[in-house]
Amino acid sequence: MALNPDREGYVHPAYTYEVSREKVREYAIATGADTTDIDGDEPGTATAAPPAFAAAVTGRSLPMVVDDPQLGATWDLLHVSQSFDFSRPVRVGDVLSCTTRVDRILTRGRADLIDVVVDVADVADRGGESVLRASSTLMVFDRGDADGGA
Amino acid sequence: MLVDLPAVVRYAGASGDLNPLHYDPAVAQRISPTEDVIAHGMLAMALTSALVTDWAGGPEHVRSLTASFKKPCPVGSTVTVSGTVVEIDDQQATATLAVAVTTTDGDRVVVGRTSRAVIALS
Repeated sequence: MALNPDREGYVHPAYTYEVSREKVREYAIATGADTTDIDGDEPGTATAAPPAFAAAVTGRSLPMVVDDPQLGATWDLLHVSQSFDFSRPVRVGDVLSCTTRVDRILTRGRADLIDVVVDVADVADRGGESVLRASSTLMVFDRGDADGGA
Repeated sequence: MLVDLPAVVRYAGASGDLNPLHYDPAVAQRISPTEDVIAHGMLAMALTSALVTDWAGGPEHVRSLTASFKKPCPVGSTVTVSGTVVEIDDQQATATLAVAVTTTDGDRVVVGRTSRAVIALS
């Protein structure tokens, strides 16, 4: 079963991500990032998270997209590419609103491509200041269809 | 550095990406391109992030990160992480680095040709 191309452009309901020092510390340790500021700053300091922590913030968008019954994807997939564009670093104490959009669907039969864009904004800021945009491309396989599909 | 099962499990917990492809051999045998467990592409990307962030002088200086994942990184691989300055923009005061993650077998997990970090120099 190929992906439903009509799902292109669909915007999932926004979710909120609250950044905690301990989660940032855990991520920094797991990825070999410098933990000097995370360990040393006074409690309550808006310490900057490692840039790749954006993956933890935006990670919830993946199950939203893949488990969407209207899309028709499965977990038989690979991550092809990822980018993060920052207006500012993610910081401890941030409350972030994350909006996930299915940006593009390319149906090719057995290996479809989906581009997903997640816009992350600071809800504490009245204007909803943009913090970062995460863009990813996923390749979703369809190996169950013996006749090859289309 | 060594990307072993504890490293992958630690990354799964830290990131929230609990896809069993990365640590459950039975699942990996069905859907992994190597038919065995492979590290998260995002873990490889995060290693490049840590390298360039240290070089840049902190997260405030990192403008963008891009990684394209070419080859899978089998769990148990030893990888080399590198960054090479490929462009300096005096106008914008930014440096662009090509970043790469390569296994000791020479497989390019993160491909330098299409993977970039843009760093603010000021």
